[in-house]
Amino acid sequence: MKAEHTESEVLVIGSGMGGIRAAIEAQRAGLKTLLIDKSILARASASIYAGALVARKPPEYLVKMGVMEPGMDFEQSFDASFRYFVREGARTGGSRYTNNQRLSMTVACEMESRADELRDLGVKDIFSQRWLGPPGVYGRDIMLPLVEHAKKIGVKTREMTMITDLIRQDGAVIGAVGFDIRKKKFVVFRTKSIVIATGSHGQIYERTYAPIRMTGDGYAMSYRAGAALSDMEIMGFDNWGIAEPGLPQYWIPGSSARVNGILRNASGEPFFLRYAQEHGILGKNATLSMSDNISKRYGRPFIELVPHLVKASMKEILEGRGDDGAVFLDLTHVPEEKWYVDSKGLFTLNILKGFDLKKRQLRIIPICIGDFKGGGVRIDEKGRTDIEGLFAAGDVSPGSSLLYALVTGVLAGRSATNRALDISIPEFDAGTKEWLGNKKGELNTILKRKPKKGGEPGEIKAAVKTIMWKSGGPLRDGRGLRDGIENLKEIEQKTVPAIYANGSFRKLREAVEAVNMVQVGGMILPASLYRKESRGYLQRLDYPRQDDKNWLKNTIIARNKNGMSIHADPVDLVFMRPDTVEKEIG
Amino acid sequence: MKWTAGNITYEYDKEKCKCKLGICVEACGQGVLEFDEDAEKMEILNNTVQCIFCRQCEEVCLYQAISIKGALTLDDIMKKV
Repeated sequence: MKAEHTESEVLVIGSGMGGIRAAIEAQRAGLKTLLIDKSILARASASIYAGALVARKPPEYLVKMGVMEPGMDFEQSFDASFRYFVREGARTGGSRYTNNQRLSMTVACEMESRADELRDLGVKDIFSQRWLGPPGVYGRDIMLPLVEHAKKIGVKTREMTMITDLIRQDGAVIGAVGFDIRKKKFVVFRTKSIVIATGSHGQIYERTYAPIRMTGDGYAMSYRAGAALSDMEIMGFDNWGIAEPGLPQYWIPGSSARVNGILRNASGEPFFLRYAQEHGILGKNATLSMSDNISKRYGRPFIELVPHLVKASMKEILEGRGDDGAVFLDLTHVPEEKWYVDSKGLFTLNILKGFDLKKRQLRIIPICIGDFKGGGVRIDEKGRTDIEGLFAAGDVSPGSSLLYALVTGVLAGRSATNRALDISIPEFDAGTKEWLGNKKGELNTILKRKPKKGGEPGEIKAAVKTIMWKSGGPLRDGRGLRDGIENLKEIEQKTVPAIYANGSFRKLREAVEAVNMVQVGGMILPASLYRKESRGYLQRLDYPRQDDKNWLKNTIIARNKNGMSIHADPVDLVFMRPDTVEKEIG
Repeated sequence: MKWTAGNITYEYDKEKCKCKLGICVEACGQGVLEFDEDAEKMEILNNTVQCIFCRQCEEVCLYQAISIKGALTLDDIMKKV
């Protein structure tokens, strides 16, 4: 099958916030920019479901009604934001001082102006999404106008085109190879700069609410191209995953009503109170009153409590105090009208499909949230990866949130532009042409392969998800991680070679995603085993404490001649140091 | 095809489904919909339990083949406020 060849000056892969914003940046500089997505533009991204840019002030009616407190302190100034990002790892999986401080500083400095600038890019109301966005797709009224703006200024777009690999020549990324699902043909892209913005890998877990196309493709293809990835073990989990038969496995959104919930075990005990007291996480002004919302009750901003809530619920379940593998969220005392004051409350009622919250407690189990993770393709404060010509934005890099994606989209787009302005589009040499021929051959083999036992892509995905939840979920230990690594290896060696698409390009997308998931799982588990401490959302039962003395480090994964290598680099504490380090320095 | 959950009704009119692209399938983040490549039409899988009524499928359909009725919308906030 002959491949279609196409070229652009900047190629952006992925059309969530990071990708679209990067494409706009490049097009604004007059560069021929192509934005592609393996699905349809924006709608299949996590950004469309994202809750808010910056909280800022809630709508006045909510304050007047006394149901909403003013925005959290960390959202009020760049300095407070920066400190919060680093100290709490608020956008990086609760990573606490292991995130890139230069990048965090840049995000904090630019977030307000980049958010304001969205008004010039066609977004009407930039701050209301958190409370009054369309139920369930809060980011829609930001994302869809951005797509229109990108098209209006001349960004070329291409949907349903999956990139499988980046093309590297003379040390630089100079193109990409993939296939067009609708045209049913292979495609080769030649370009000066690539921005990868393919989102996260939340679908790698059995319990997740990440959109189905979030399969970690960007991590896998960047790794194969030789880029370094950092802190892949720090994945985001949230406590509020629905586990009630007959209801979707989804997250209960953070509405004004949910924050009043009480976690109970099978005996009816409000167990988080016990956990918070035992683990010393109560804030100074904790009221301990169950009629207060969670922040007031435990005296700490909600976002700081999330990793603890996850750990506490998982421990209740594992130690046999749950009910059929779940704990209860008690919302029976929440007045009905509270569900009707913000969009997330309405959305919750829609998801719960008539479940009577006044009469019954809801079964929940922690769930992977895809965002709030700390790992990804390593970038610097300019959105540059370790490889020349390759830039990354949004959740594919080590950070998350719509705001993070917005700023890193600008950074990566700007850096990609600067490179593209300086060079001409490279020609493929003989070695690259041979590599491309082999790559097309591999894809064609999978495409043509008839159904074969064990090779159904959906089944392989399901197997990976089960392994990852069991071994690499919210609570991990060395034994489980080692078992998981072995199980993934078995899939890689025995099942992946049988993977088939039976002539369908849609199925080929599934197959490539499945292979990528196996590879990404093969990064998360060894990285988790390597980091011998608990930090943020990475909780190891065999190393339960945060160990700043030995682990103020980033785990770095890269590909070498012998396969995958892992090592740890000390964190550059350029602006802020934790108290533990301050004390040591004296 | 029609199914209900609580007060919400999801209706899909296969006769009206004519885009042949499966745009709705792509817009579904929950994997509830599938594209039948032979018929070039959308199929609803057996896991409607996973539907979260985000209404993306309804919104992107060029032929109004999907309609979701009874889901709460922002108007329900405005009425109360």
